[in-house]
Amino acid sequence: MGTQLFDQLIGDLPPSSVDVAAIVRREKRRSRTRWFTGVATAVVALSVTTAIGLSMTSSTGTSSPPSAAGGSSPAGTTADTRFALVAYSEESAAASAKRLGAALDAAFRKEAPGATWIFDPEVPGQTGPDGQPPKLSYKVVDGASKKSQELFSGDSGVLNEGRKGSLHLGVNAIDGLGEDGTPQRKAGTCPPSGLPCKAGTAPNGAPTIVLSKAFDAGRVYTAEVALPDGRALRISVNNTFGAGGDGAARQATPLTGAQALAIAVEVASHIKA
Amino acid sequence: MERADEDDFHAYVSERLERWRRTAYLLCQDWHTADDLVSITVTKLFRNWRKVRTADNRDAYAQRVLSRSWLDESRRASRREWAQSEPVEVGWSVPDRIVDRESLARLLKALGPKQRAVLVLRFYLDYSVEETADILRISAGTVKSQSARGLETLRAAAVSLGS
Repeated sequence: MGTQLFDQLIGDLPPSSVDVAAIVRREKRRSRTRWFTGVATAVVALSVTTAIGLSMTSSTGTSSPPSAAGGSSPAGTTADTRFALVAYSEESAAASAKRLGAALDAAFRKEAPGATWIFDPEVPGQTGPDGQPPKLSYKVVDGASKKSQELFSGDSGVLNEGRKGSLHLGVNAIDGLGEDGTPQRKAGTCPPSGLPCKAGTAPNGAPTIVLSKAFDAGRVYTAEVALPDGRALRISVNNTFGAGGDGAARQATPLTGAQALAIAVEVASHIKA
Repeated sequence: MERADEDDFHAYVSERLERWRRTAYLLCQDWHTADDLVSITVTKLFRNWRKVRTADNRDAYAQRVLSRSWLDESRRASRREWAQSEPVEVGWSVPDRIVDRESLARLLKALGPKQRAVLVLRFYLDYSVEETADILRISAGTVKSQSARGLETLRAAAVSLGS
């Protein structure tokens, strides 16, 4: 019936950029890597278990002094627990997303102690049930990646003192260029849109901004921090929840702009270039 | 994956690639995004090929993957846009009659991602209400209500086109 019109709308198909052969190659490589990783993990686990067993057997009944060459950190120094956001393979991207998600959860608990993660019906699969932090999704960097797409992202519902809303985390792939290759603003600087924007600096010197935007249906705060490699990490908090922002849409956001910024800064402090 | 399975996968995908690209384009109206959606779909189908090849209806399974990928992407995109860009201008209303590709494009753009998917599945791919509901994991009642407006306007289109 309306198929003819649909076909008119589609028009002539441009050449396809879907490279099925490349997808299959990448997936086979991923599968092999996962298999090797599994085997290597099993071997390491077995070695560690054996070593611990031998160590306990040899040290039974003795009180050995700590070894000078034991490899432990000298007193007064702390290990660098920061991590790099890498997405050059399925495995590295998944590992980075997992660490980023853990950093987000820890920052959320630290900066918004009374708030909880709640299931957001608009983002099934990324969050839920209630109490679970968002599962961040990722994109592997390859030739087909759009320059401004979010490399790591995740969403979740948030409940704080009776106010519901959604939180979004995003890290863009490459700073400075739009999808068409044109220069864009630098991370952590106010856009020329005229929206209320407060610029600042994180304790580590990274530039930050907090944007505020009001809509008929609600409000959104977006906090952005420049990462060491120039990319931007954003935390957005709005007061819509579920389809169309029904229900709590007229209330205040569950987190303040300052809290969104504090979370973004805390998460960014764990990321190195 | 066995060689025969891989050949089966390639044959299956190559036969349907154009159809998926057309469908993806109707959903997002952007060829770059459409090809991204199809690439994501192909990837997911490959990862789950053993399950897909034994599915009762492989095409419905693939369509479900494509539709879900579209809904996921549009959700992420809308959140990004909401946070980064100016509010969308209002003041344009859905046309009463769909008589050309421009008015159909405007109608689709005016609909939410899920409604758009309902319309494309029902009236372009010719899935039944029940099949559409199963693919999008929504109730048949929701499919009916969301497609009623589109059906009305497309009927008007059929009349005007003399089909």
